[in-house]
Amino acid sequence: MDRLKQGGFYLLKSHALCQLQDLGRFGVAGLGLTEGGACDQQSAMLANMLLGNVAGAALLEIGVGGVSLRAQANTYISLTGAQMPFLINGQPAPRYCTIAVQSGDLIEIGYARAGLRCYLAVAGGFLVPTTLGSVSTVLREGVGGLNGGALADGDWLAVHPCEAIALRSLPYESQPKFSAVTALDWIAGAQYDWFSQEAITRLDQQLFRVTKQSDRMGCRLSGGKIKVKPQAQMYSEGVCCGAIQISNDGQPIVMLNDHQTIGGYAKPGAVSRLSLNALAQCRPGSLVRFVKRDLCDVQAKAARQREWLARLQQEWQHKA
Amino acid sequence: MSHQQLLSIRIASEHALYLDLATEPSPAALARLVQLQQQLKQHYGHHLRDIVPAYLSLLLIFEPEYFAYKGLCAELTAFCQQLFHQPAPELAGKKVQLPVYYGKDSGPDLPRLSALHGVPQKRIIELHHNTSYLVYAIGFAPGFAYLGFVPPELNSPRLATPRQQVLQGSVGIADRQTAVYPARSPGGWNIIGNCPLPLFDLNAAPLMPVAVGDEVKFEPIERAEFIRLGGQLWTD
Repeated sequence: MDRLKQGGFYLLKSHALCQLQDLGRFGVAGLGLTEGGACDQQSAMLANMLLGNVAGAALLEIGVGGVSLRAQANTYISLTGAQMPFLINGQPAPRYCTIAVQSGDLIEIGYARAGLRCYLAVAGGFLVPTTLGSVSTVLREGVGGLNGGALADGDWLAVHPCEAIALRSLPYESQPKFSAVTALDWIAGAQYDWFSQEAITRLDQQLFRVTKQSDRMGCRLSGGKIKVKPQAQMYSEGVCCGAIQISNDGQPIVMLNDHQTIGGYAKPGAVSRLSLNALAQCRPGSLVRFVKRDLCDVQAKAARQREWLARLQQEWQHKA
Repeated sequence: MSHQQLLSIRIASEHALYLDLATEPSPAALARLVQLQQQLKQHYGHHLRDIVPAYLSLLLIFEPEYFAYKGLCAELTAFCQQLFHQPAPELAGKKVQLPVYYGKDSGPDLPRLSALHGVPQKRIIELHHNTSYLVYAIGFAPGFAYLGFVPPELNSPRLATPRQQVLQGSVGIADRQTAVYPARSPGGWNIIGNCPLPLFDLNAAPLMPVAVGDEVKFEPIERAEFIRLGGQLWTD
């Protein structure tokens, strides 16, 4: 078998929230396929950048934690995102860091202490066939991953043979932090006019709790009811990542990466991509609040973040 | 009728927007939607990550770096103006025939719809397959095509409580729309029959037999033919 020649990782312990992801599947939303991809895109990009990978290399998104792997290759890995106990051969290993692993090493990821999703990347990315241009696993669609599903105990993840690479790390100050209340920047759009000023104020001036019904499709929030002005029939329209959908019960759902591509519920606007990264780390029970922003402010913030990532990448490339 | 116009541009997210082309769905508006979709794809190439046509609007999702809202609005308005100046396009989609076995063992809601509308089941089936439909949108699940519109006599509200499981191929009615479930899934549509052909196949090219703007007609088949084609019954 190839796997004897080719290095890789054995998954010793896995579950439904341990999935192969990249930055998403594009160009097929018009056929009803969602974009998928890492819910916390920035943590996924950083994990890859720490290894000199392209930002969209295939990696593992591990929700909640509780995953272990056996290295069958001499290579490098990195772990970003949620704070999860990270052990190599029983010894604590640092997150946000390039780590050399040897064939035979045991990699264990415990349960999240803060945050919800961590990203485990490997030098060169996991070698997985793409489906419609992406490895992103969408369980509901049975698309992507190894066989359209989550990863299971005993699965084998092949990797590229790897040359020595520079060791990089992201200083603690630059690592994303988790706060007691997560602020969600959002911009007005879609059916904004269908909401009274009162309803918008209500959306912005209360705390919402992330419910247990949240998943990769959407973060379902609970709080005081947000009313939609009575409307004539609404025809379904495309739905994008970040859209805030107000259900019939007046509760908001923020669309995450596995969102439906079409919907007929009123949407006052959309949460910014940067805030979605933070929201993807909010576990059930945690608190969020909406902060309405101008489009240009949100875009400026996104541009600054892109510049920061580009500078970091350049810095790390020089180190190589 | 060529006085189609761009009614509005709405923000969808920091790098996505809606183009609204009509206030009521119609074959003419759908033809424009499809035409605009194709031309915008060509014009913007990879800068336009995704485009979702549905009934009255197009959702355009751009690369974040590319999205300059004001500039794009001006550009899209001019683009539409120029396009809509040209004669209205004909719907140039494919005509697709889909075999359907209508029966109690493939369409568990037939008896209920018959009672609801006070017409025999045979009439419901007749009305359904004697109508030709347009694909107004694809979504909900991969390959789920929203077909419009059923004759007014078939207009039926969704189930109060959606089913946990609807069989693959199920042909349903919800309000004025009809559709085929491309895969087993939960669903709240009234199921009146089943289409044994795959509506979405990752290994096929194209992935789907239908596209937005296509015309679909259902062709009734007998139970035996349905089974021969690999169809699955609710009683199985």
